[in-house]
Amino acid sequence: MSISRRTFVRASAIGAALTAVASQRGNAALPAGVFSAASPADAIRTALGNVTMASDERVRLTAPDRAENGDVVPLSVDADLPNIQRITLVADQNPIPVIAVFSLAPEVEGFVATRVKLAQTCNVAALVDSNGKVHTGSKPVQVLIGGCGGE
Amino acid sequence: MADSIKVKTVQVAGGIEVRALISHPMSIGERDKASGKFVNAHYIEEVVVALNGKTILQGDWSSGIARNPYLMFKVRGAMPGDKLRLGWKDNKGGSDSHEITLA
Repeated sequence: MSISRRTFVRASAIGAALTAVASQRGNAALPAGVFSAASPADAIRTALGNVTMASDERVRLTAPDRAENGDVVPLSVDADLPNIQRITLVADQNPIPVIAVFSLAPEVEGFVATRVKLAQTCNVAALVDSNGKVHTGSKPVQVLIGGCGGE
Repeated sequence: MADSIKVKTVQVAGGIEVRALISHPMSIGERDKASGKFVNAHYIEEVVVALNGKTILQGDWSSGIARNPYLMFKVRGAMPGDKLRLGWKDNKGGSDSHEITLA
């Protein structure tokens, strides 16, 4: 896998920022601005507080290598980790990098599958909160026709 | 907005697998020529799943979820007779919910 470390770190940091902010607020609601924050730098600054984050092979992110149509790209996350509280999906080249944040009760397994839009070729990342740490998995996806189109 | 939600469940070892399909445009809006910003977006912001009245999954979404959202997840220990409810709210005040009783 040839993931650019820079883009990966960036994607991961954004997610961690969000999860950090969200956990300060409790599980109930995300702060306003999570999805409108087009400035990853701010998010990263918030992030580098108390969250420990590491790439973890137990977070399995499944996505196609090549997406013909960025409007509909299937993604699934399967995390073999205890006490998962939150799964965040991030696409580092989307206008709104955070696609979704799933908050899970203990009854729900560490698995979600959905379909997302990808604006262009990018790295997608899944950030999984488990026992106070953020475990990440990521994968590059080549997008042939972008979703979230500008036209 | 009635009937925007379809939910199917399958029994698997130790629980159920839930597949939900929601009819929604999930529009990112159009680019305003003057400002270059996207305006008039229309998308689901929040999805809540409850089992017997207790919230077990909350999804906070951007418009980056694809049109007609699909969501699959697994619930441990769900039993026949349990009530599973899925509801959504969008950024324009629209909402819908649907409850099923597990067979």
